[in-house]
Amino acid sequence: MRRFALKYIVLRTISTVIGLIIIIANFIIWNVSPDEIATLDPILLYRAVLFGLQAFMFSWLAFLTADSISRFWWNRWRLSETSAVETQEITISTGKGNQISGILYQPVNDRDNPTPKKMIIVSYGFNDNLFRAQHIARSLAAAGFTALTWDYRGRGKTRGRITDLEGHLDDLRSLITHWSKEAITQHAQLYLCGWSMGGMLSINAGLGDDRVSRIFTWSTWSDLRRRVLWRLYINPFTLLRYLFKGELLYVSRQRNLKVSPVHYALRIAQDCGGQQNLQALVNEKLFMCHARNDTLVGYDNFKENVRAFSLPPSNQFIFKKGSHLLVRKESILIGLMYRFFNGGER
Amino acid sequence: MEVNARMAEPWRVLMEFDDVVIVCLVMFFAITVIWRYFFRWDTRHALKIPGIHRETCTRFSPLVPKKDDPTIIVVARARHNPLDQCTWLVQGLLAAGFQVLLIHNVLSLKHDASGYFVQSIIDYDDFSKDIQLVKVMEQAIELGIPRLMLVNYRGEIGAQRLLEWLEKAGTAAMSRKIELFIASRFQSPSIQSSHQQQFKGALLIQRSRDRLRDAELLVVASILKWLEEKRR
Repeated sequence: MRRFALKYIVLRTISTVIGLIIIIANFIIWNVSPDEIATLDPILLYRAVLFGLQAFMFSWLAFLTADSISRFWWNRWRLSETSAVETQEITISTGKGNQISGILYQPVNDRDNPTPKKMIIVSYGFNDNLFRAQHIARSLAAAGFTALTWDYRGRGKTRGRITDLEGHLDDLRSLITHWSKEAITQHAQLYLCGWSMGGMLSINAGLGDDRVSRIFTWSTWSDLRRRVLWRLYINPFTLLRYLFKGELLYVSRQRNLKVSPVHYALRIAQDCGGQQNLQALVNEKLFMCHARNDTLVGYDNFKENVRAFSLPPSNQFIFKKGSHLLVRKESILIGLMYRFFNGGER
Repeated sequence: MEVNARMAEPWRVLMEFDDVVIVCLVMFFAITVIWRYFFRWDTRHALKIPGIHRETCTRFSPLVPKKDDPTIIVVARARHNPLDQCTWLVQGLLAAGFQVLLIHNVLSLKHDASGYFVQSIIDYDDFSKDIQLVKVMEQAIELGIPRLMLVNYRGEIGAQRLLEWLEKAGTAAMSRKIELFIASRFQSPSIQSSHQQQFKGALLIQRSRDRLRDAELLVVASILKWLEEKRR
């Protein structure tokens, strides 16, 4: 904790110094001494402010354009139509007046197979959407599972705000209830998979639920407030992203207890009747991956999760590279998931 | 006075350097495009990850090794950097618990495969040149390997060649002795009804603009599923 506090203070100081350097550099570039500020022509000052505002507006526009393009065209995994998978848009009523929209991916060749299909609910990260999760869901369907990707609150057709993390948890619990009763999965096993925020949702909603057989997560935070938020706030690009989109991720101390796997581990250990029982549960149900060079949800999150859940080495995989989204490691993830969801046997 | 004159038209200061600014922006854009296109998404060097033990130049152990892991032979015959080209395939198989033998020469298959419990051979090729497919089939039958997967990393030309070869008498007879799985780009009309049974369970990428590169994860997943089904 002390090490991270020190890191935070150092980074904060560096960013402040950089800010001051930018201000001083502007004074030098425009050849203005601080004494002259009071004597400047107010019309010129007004024009300078307008100029600054215009620059800001252009930056915003450029950001939105780049963001939209990156979401659909710069995505590594472009949509490809195959004979193996069929998709279906669905809407599920949660019973509390809410509706969750999503896409169901099913293997085509198993259409006539009477045995119940294994169901995987795929939950993506805070900055992702259905499209950016399609490559994982589609591949899982090609591997013989039925996969569901769903719209979080504030994404797609589902109403609400993306920052409502507890709301997402409620929605995932509702989805688990829905699919455990649904005909196609009634007698089959239900699995959860997720990354980043989706990993937290999968663990917190599924680990203590007997209806969920196994959970596979990667790049998941351990304690959102302590280990992730400060990283967001000191990163100017990430902060701009959230500010421009009006989606500033913030949780109070109380909410943090509900949306952080580490605190959930303490609660579930009590419910299970001790750390040993939790260990047995985790051994059976949970697999976690993380990249050492993850700069958004740092590797320290993974280590803390491993400690809190007593995750055995056989249920974890550490990548040296790949960053937060485990870029170029997707085929490994598919292989690991396939093995884990099929009982780890070959 | 000088200060006010400059403040009246501050953009003139920037205009003095407009060429430099434009050149910098264009260079930055070009570097971004080049980086994204050539480096960022490729799979080069991706096998250098902890957990994969490259004991010889061809043999890879699984990420989470277990006793008696079944082996898959990948015959990579891409023209340039065959190891890099099919890294994604090897990674997926290793992660799923298979041992992988990566070879480039079909003739050494018998020698390389001795001592391993080989479940299947994957022929990763563009199928555009020599009839290597027949040689691979012969070797597989001789070694008693029951399954062969054909992954066409190119487009329609390779797909058409595949169809032609499978129709030929000799190849057709061999394909009856061995179970085939095909992952390739096919436009639907090119698959005749006589091939439907043969392609049952295959992964067909259906739109002409879709490339195998976009369907790499689907290929890995389909191969794993096919192997699982055949194992039962």
